[in-house]
Amino acid sequence: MLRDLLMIATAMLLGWSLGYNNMATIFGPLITSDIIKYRVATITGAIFIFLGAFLGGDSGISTMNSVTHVTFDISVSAALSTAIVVLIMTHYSLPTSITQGIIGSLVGVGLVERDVNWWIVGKVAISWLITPFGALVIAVFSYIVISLFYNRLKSLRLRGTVVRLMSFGFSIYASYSLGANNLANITGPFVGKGLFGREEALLIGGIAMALGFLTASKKVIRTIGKDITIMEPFDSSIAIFGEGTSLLIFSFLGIPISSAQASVGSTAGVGIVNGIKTVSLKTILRIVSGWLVTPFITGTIAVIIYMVMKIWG
Amino acid sequence: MSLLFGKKENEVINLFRDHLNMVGQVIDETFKIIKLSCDEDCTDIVKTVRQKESEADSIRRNAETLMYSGAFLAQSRGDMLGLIEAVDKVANKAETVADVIYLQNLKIPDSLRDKYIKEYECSVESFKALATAVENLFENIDKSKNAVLEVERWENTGDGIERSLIKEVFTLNIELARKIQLRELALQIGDIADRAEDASDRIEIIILKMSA
Repeated sequence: MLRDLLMIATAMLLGWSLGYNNMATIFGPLITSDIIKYRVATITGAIFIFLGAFLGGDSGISTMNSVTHVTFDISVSAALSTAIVVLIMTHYSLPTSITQGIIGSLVGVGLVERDVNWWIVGKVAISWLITPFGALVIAVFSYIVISLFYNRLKSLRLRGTVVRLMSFGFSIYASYSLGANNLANITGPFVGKGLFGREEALLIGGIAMALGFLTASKKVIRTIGKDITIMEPFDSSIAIFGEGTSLLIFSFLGIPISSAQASVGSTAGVGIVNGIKTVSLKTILRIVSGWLVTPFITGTIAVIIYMVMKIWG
Repeated sequence: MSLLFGKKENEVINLFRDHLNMVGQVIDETFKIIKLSCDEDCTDIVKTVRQKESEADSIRRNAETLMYSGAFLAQSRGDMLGLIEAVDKVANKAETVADVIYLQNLKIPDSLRDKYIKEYECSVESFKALATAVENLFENIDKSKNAVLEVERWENTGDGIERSLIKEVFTLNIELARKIQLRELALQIGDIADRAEDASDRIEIIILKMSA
């Protein structure tokens, strides 16, 4: 019973922080543009991230629970260390990624047990490298194609309506994709070996992420949304579409990726089409630090938690 | 939730139309003063100019209040606000022209009246083109863009007349003070078209921002 509660609590914490952190990047532009109200956004987003997790989240689970042979101790220490790191880094507004955190912690504990599936780790690492560039290409391509139709509209009134519907539709789509792709990060390590069943994993992960969306701070959303809405509404909606599509493609491939890096890539893509620089050296350093620092820290903490759990039996 | 281009936006567009109409009336009333040889009967016209200008201000304020109650995307509001304020400045300038003539009791020499009328006509035409650009902004971007070019064309024509008018003023055998007054009038009339052009520049920016 205590084991179950600990597993559920850890997964809930991780899922909640994922939803909480991503709500602003997906729905921020809509809320700051007054296209939809905060409460409508959180409820709609929560529904679709849950649907994404429940209906499309299954494929990444096999990847996550194959990094090492998961046991109760390994899963809890990996998820708990990631949750701790994510909460601390979010509190201090430092860049972090749950995907990279959970992989780092599983690899860390796997190294202690001398049991790491390097083939899976390599596959995931390559996907991390590909993510920003993939998102960039998707954003450039979709920008060119969609703008061909958009620019044919001669009525500004109609353009206004289209851009609002695009922003809303793409935000829903990105919420669904985020749920489908990142579910594996939340409950993936707990599936198998008598831990969670698949349906339980999908349900708990989906609910946790939805709760994160529902409780996202209005103030944070407006602050982050303002940064994004420096772009025009059309541009920001394409950036969200690029992010959502990258997440969805990788969820079909069963590989969880970082939504933040997908977002950076698609924003850069929109910038390239417009001939403006949207990505700075600071952003690139953030990506690299995401690749290196987060997994290292979560790995170290996961090992400490794992050792403590082993000593206490 | 304002997911569609809805009621509030349509109300603002209607107020834009009312505002353009009122600014047009300010310009037309002022034109009467230039056409007339200004004697005591100008007082009523100047009163009408002031009243219409004040009504235009009031319509502009209503439009601004409505915009900030949620009409248009937040990013577009500043541009729309800038546009209606820029159009309003055209009315302010027309009022200034009326004041220059009325308050200084300025008599336009008969030999120059036709040129002043021509210069003012250019300003009227540039404003008419601006009104077309604003009215078509929401329905037909191409028509709006063409009208913006028209504003610029009339402004350029007006500039030419303004320069030749000032040159001619300083060839007249009148007091220097009166020459300066007449130069001032030519400049102020030219400014009406300049302000119409400033407003049309904002239309171009709005169209650019709403394009991909």
